[in-house]
Amino acid sequence: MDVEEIKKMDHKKKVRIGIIMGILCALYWGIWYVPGYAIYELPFLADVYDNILNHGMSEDATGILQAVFLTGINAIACALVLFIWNGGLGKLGEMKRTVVQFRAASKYFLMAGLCGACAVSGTYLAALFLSPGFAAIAGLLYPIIGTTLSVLYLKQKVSKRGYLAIIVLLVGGITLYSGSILSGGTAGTNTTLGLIGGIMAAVGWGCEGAVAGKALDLCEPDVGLHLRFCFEAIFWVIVLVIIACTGIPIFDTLGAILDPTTFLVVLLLGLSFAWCYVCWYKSFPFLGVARGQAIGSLYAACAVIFLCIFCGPQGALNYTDESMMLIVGSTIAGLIICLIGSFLLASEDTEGMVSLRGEKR
Amino acid sequence: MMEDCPVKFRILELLDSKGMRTEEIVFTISKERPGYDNDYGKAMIKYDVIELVSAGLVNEGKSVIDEEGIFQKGKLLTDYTISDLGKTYLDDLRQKVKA
Repeated sequence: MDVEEIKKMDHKKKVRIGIIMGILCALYWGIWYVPGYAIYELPFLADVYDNILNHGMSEDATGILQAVFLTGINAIACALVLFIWNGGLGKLGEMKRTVVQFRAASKYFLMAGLCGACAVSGTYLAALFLSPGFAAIAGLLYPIIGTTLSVLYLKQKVSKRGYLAIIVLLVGGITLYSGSILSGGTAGTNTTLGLIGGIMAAVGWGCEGAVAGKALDLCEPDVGLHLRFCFEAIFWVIVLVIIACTGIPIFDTLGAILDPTTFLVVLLLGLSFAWCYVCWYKSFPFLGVARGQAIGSLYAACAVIFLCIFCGPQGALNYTDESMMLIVGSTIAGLIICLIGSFLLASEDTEGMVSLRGEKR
Repeated sequence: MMEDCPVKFRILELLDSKGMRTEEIVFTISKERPGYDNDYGKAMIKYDVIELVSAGLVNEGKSVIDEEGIFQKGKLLTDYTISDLGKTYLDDLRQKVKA
């Protein structure tokens, strides 16, 4: 084999690694919904809700505070899990070198952490006040913002085939949940708060991708994402302490986290979300933010599949006898469209992706 | 100046002074920082160089096959130079980096 052939093979391998990372991100993100739903069934979270409600807060305010509490626990669990991950990879030294360079590097991860905090809490609010289906669709819109910012701000190139694949993946994701929306799944308790949550999710994740993309030009993905979770965890700890200082009993049942079942669910939340982010950030340097986010949006399809496996089709898709055809049909159609989008992206010419910046092909 | 900075900062700084081949970059950095002077550490540095190429901050030049096993036998040894965008990033880093 001559040098040029090996070079071409290396370029193909690089893009393949990016695509595998994107697919793994979608798988972990999808499976995160299983502990993410299960935690609502545990007394740990229900008690927080009851305590705040009994303190005299309205139902809406209680819902918001419960979402803040859960997002904070999720971020802390991820930050702790990633210490084991980066310790195992021998990257804690690089983490120290990165965190001290605040102006040159770690400030971007602080910004990414705040955008992520906005997105995750937003998706919980959208699910709570409107519907989980609406939350998923709102979240799926984040590649539109991410792609726009990556082209305008990061100057990353996206080929025509790349744009087409992104659009097909988005249409597939929206089709997946359109059945539940059309059959009245948006009848939530507070539409305004639900819509605000949806916008927070799309804008938050889209902006996070662009900010992280900029920082990852110069930093290690594993280290960068760990810093992002550390900053997010610190942010939520400050917010939760301020809430507790106002007399709201948000920490009263925190000790219940030591219950083995609760601890296992929180650990699974941390593991699945942390690994999802590890793969998400690792896909950006090789695929670019736009393609990385588009493949990551396959999480919608993965979430449906994992929820069907663990909760049964009816529990996952929440259909009745009347709406079964519409919901199941739209889910299957969405899955097929997502597969076509993934194929378009995976079969893109790899020689055009040696560098993510430069002339458009 | 950037010996104690993240690996990618240091790679850009090294390439700003002269173009270098894969093993030159890898061996220079692996000797500078603890924990990198082994096969795994060197592979991590090579991975960072590849990510910099992908980001458009470093340009790839000619490659030869590592027949003698200087770094990784049978793999490519590639010449790298800093790109114009890489120079812009490096100038910005020089103003921001804490020594």
